[in-house]
Amino acid sequence: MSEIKESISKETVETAKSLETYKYGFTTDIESEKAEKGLTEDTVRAISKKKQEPAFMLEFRLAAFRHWLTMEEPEWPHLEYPPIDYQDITYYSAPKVQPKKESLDEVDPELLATFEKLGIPLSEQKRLSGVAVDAVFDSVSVATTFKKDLLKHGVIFCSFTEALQDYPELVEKYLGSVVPYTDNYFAALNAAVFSDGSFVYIPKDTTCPMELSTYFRINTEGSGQFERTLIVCEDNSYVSYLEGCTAPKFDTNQLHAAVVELVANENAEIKYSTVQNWFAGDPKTGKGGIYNFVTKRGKCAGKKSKISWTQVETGSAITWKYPSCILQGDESVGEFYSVALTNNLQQADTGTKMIHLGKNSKSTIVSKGISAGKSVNSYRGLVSIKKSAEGARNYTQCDSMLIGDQCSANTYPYVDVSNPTAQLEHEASTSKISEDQLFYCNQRGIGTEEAVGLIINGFCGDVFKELPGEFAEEATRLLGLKLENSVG
Amino acid sequence: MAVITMQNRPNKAHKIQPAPTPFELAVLSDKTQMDAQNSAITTIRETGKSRYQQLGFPTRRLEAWKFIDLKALQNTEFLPYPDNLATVNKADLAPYMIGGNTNASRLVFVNGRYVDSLSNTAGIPKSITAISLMLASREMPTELSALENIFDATTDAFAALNAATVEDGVLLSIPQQTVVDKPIQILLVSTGDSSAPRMASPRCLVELGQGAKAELVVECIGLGKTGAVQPTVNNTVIQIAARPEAELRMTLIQEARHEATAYSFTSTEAKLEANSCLEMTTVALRGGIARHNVQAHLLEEGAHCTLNGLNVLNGDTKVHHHTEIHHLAPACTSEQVYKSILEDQSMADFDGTITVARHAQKTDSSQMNRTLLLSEDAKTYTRPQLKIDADDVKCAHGATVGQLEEEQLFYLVSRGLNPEIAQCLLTFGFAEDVINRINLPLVRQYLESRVLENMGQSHNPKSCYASCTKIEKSACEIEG
Amino acid sequence: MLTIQDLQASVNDTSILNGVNLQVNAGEVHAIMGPNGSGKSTLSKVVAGHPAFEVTGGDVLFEGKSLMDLDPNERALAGIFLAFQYPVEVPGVSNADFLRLAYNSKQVHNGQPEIDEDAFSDILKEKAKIVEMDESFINRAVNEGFSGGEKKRNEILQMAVLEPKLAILDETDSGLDIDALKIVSAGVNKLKSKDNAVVVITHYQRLLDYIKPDFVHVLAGGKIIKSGGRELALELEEKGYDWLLGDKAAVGAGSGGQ
Repeated sequence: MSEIKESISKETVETAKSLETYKYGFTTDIESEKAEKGLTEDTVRAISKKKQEPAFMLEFRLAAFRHWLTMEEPEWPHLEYPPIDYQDITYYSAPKVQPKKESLDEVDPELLATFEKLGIPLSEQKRLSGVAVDAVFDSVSVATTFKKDLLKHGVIFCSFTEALQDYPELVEKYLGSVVPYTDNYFAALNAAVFSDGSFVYIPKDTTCPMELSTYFRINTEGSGQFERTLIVCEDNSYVSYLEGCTAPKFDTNQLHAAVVELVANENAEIKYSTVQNWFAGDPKTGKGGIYNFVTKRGKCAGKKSKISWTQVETGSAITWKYPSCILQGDESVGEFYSVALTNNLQQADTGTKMIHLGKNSKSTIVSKGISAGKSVNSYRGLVSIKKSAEGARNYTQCDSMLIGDQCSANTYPYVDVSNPTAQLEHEASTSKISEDQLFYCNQRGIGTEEAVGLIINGFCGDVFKELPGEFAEEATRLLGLKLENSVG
Repeated sequence: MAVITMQNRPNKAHKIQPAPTPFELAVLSDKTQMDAQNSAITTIRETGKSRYQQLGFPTRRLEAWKFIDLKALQNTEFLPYPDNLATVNKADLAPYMIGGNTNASRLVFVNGRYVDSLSNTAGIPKSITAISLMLASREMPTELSALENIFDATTDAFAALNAATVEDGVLLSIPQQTVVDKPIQILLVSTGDSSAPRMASPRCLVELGQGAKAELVVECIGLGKTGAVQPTVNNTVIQIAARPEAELRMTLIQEARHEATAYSFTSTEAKLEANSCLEMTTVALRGGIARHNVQAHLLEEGAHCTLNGLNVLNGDTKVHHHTEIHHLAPACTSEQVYKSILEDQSMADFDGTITVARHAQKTDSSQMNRTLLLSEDAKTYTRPQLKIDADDVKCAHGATVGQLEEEQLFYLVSRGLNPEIAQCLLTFGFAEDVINRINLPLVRQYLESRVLENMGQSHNPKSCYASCTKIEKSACEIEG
Repeated sequence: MLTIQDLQASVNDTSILNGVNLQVNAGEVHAIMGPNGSGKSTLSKVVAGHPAFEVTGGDVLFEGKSLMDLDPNERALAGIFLAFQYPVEVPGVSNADFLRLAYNSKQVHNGQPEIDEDAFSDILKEKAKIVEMDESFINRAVNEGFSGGEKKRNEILQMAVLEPKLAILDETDSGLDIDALKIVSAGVNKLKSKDNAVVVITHYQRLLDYIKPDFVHVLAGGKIIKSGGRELALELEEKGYDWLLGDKAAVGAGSGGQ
C-alpha cells in the first residue's frame, strides 16, 4: 500500500517538476506578419483592408472604434492592475503563411508541431477522435478540420475571415446582434480591431454530427488577441462547442479581449464549453500573464431554446468574464456552470448574467470558486427577472473554497425581480478543506496531495459533469497541477 | 499617423467636485446658532461637516445607492424646523404606547428635539444616564466627546450630514453590570410642515458598560398631521458602543404617514467589544422612501451580532436596507434574516455585505433574504455579498424571491383550512417568523399589531378569518 | 368507506400509479408495503389531493362519492387525514393557531359552533397527552425545529384533534426510535374505533407489531400485486420482496378481477 502511495506521489512530483508550473509556456519560432503598435482609425482600416472585408464590416469597425473613444475602462470589478497602454499593443499579428490552407499537409510543419505539443487533435491522424477543430494562432485562424464533412450536413464551421468572404449576409445579420459594440469598453475595442475567430452556422432541424472546437493561442510577444466567435443555431438544431486557450510565457502582460455571440432560435440548443489556461504570470512576482477581458453572451431568441455555458477558468493574470444568457424566448433555458481557480497572484472577477424576458424561462447557475496563494477570486452574477417573464425560475448556487490564509473570496450576487410569479433561490457558502477530511483520506491511505485533488474534484463535480468527456479529464488534471504545493 | 493619447483609468480622488445642490446649500448653511456652552455639539457639527465634504452626496453610481432616487431631494431646500412648531400631544402618541402602557419609560423627540412633557423617565433606574444631547453637551461634554470619538469616521454621507446638522438627540449610558429588564422606548416623531420642506436630524448615542444589558425600541414616525403637505426628511443616527459582555436588544421601527414625500434615513453604527452582543430588528412599514444603513464592527473576540429585518410595504413605499457586518476579530458570529412582504407598487432593496478580515478566523456568519411578492407591480432587488480574506470560516448566504411555498399551502389545506385562510396565515407567518426572534413578548405583541395594521385587506388574516381570536385580540389593540 | 378503482396517476408526465384497486371499510386497519419507489407515498398524496400529481385514470370514492372534484381542504373536511412522511415546517405560524383554525373549519363544516382560544387550549392539552407531547410545543411554530420524532408525534396529535374518519399514515414509523414508535402507535390505537379506518404505509413489519393490520397489501410498480392478512407482512419480513417481484408479470396479468 505505502509503496503504491509513494510511487504515486513521486510520479506527481516528477510531473510537476517537468511541467514547471506552466507547460504551455513555450513560443513557436514562426515568421509572423505584424502591424505597427498602436491604435488609430488607420489601424482599423488597415486590418479591414488586409482581410479584404466587405464594406459593412469596415463601417461596423469604425463605428465601434469611434464609440470606444468615448468610453471609460470599467472600474467596478474587484481587480487591481496597472493602467493598460492601448497604444503599446500590436493589434494584428498573423503567421506569414498565406493563404489559408485547404489541407493540413500544407500548413507550416512548425505550427502543426505547436498544436501537437498542445495536445490538440488537429492532424489528420486524429480524425478518429471525431472533433472538428478551428485553430487560431495569434489573431488568425490557421486551420479548420472536417469542414467538408460538416458542410454535407449543412453545418458551416470556418474562420471568421472566411465567413466574411463566403457568407457575408449571415454574418451581417447576426454580428453585434447579441453583443452590440456599445455594450462595454472591451466589446467596443474588440469590434474595432478583431482579426479573426470562428463562425458556426447550424441550419434548421440539424444536430451537428460532431463536437466543434477552437483552440486559441497567443504566440507573439506584445500582441493582443481579439478574436470573435459567432454561433447561430436555427430552429430545432443542436451544437456542442469547445474552446481551449493557451499562451507562451512572456514578461509583459498581454491583452485578450474576445467577444462570443450565440444565437439559439426556436427549440435550438447550444452547449459552449471552455477550458481556459492562459499564462497566469510568474507565480512569485506576478510578472507577465494574460489580461483576459472577455464578453460572452448568448441569446435564447426562440421558444424552448437553450444555451448552456460551462467554463473552467484556471489561467490568466486577470479574468474579467461573465458568460450570459438573454432568455427572450418563452420556456427558454439558460445555464452557467463554472469553476474558477486562482492561485499565486491571479485575480478573477467572473460570473454570469441571466436576463429573463420570456415566460416560464428558467436559469441555473452553479459557480465554484477556489482561491489559493495570494489570489483574489470574485463571483459576480446578475439574475434579472423583467416584468414580462411570467413564471420565471432561477436557481443559483455559488460556493467558494479558500486554500491558505492569504487569499480572498468574494461573492457579489445581484437579484432584481419585477414579476411576482417568479421564483428565485440563491445559495452561497464558503468552506475550506477541513483537517478532518484530510485525516479521513490519510487514514484510508490516500496521500494529502491526492486527497486535496479528490476533495477539489468533489467540490467541482457539479460543473465537471457538464463538460464533454475529454474536457472533463483535462479540467481535473489541470486543477491538480494548478494547486500543486498549495496545501501544506 | 495621429496618435491618440489614451486616458488612463481615472483616479477617483481627482474627480471634479460637483456644484453643491439646493439640498446641500440649504442644510449646510448654519441656520441654527449654537451657544458657546454647547461646545461638544459644535464639535460634532464641525466634524460632520468636514466628513460630509469628503464623502459628497451619494450618487446612484455608488452600489450602495443604486436603487435610490434622490433627484427630487437634491433639488429641494430642506430647512431646520422652527421653534415651537410642534403641535404633538399625548393623544397623537397613543398608538405608539407599547402594551398600551402610558407610564413605560419613554424619551420623545419631536422634529429632532427632546420634548420633556411627552417623555416619561420616571421608570428609568437612577444609575442610568438618559439625557438629551443638548443637556449632555452642557453638563458632560467630556464624556460626550469621548463617545463620539469612537465613531469618528462614518462612511455614510447621510450619517455625516446628521452630525453636520444635529440639534439634539439622546445620550443613553448603561453602567457596567446594570441590567434594564423593561424596554426603553425612543420615539423620534416628525410632523412635517405646511410652510416649507423640513429636515430633522436626531442623534442617539448608546453606551453599554461591561456586562450591561438593555432593551431599546426606537421608532421613527412621520405623524403626517393634516396640512403638512411639504416634503420631510428624517435623518437619524444611532451609535452603539458595547463594552465586553454587554448585550443590547433593539427594535427599530420606521413608518411615515405624511401626505407629502417623506424621506427617512437611519444610520446605525455599532462597535462591539469582546463577547458583547447586539440583536437588532429593523421593521419598515408604510410610507415614503426609507433607507436603513446598519454597520456593525465586531472588534474583539467572541462578539455577536444579529441583524434582522422586516418590510411590510404597500402603496409606493420604497425601502432600502444596507447592512455591513465587519468581522474584525477571531471567533465572532453574526446572523441576518431579512424578509419582505410587498404589495401594490412597493419596492424593497436589500444590500448586505459580510466582510471577514484576514485574521478573523473561526468566523461564523449567515445571511438570508426572503421576499414575498404579492402584487404585479411590486419590485425587489437583493444583493447579499461576501468578502472573505480568511480561510477557516463558515459563511453562508441565501436569498429567495417568490410566492408562498406550495408544500406549506398543501399541508395547511390538507388539514381542512380554506386556501385563502391558509394563504393569509402563511403570509402573516412569514412576517411573524422575524417578529418571533425578538426577545421580549411585550415588544413582539406590539410589533404584531403594528404589522397587521400595515397589511393589505386581502392578505390580512384579521380580515380573512375573524374567529382566530389571537388575531382578533391584536385587532382590538389597534382599535383601542 | 374508501374505494380506489383502477387509479392511475403521474407526476411531470411520469406515470407512477398504474391501476390501483383497494377497498377499505370502517373499523379496518390496512397496511400497504412495498419496495422503494413503488408508489406508496404517491398513493397517499393522490387520495389527499396533492396538486403535483395528475390523476390520469380511475377514481377514488369516499363514502360512495368521488373525491376527484374536491379540493384538498374539502377532502380533509370530509374526514380524510394524511399523516405526512415529511411533515412540513411552517415558520411563523404557531401550532395552536394552526390547529384551532383547522378544528374550527371542521366545526363550521359540520354545522357546529366554533370554539374560542381557551376552550381549544383545553382540548389541545387533553389530546397532547395521547402522544405524550410537552405543552410547550403549543406555541412553537408548526414543526419548525422539531426533531424527526416530534414531527411524527405532532402528526398524530393533529389526527387526534381532527378525529378523521380515514387516517392514512405515510411512513409514520420512519426516523422513530423504539420509544417514540411505541408512543405513536399507542396514540393511533387509542384513536382507532369501529367507525373509522386506518391505512398504514410502511417499510417495516416492526410497526405492524404495534398497529395490527387486518389486511396487508404489497404495492409494486404502481399496482397492488399481492394482498393478504397479517401473516403476509411476516412473510415479507422473512423473504423480502424479490419473490413477489419475480412473478409480478403473472400476478399483474391475473389480477384484473381483484
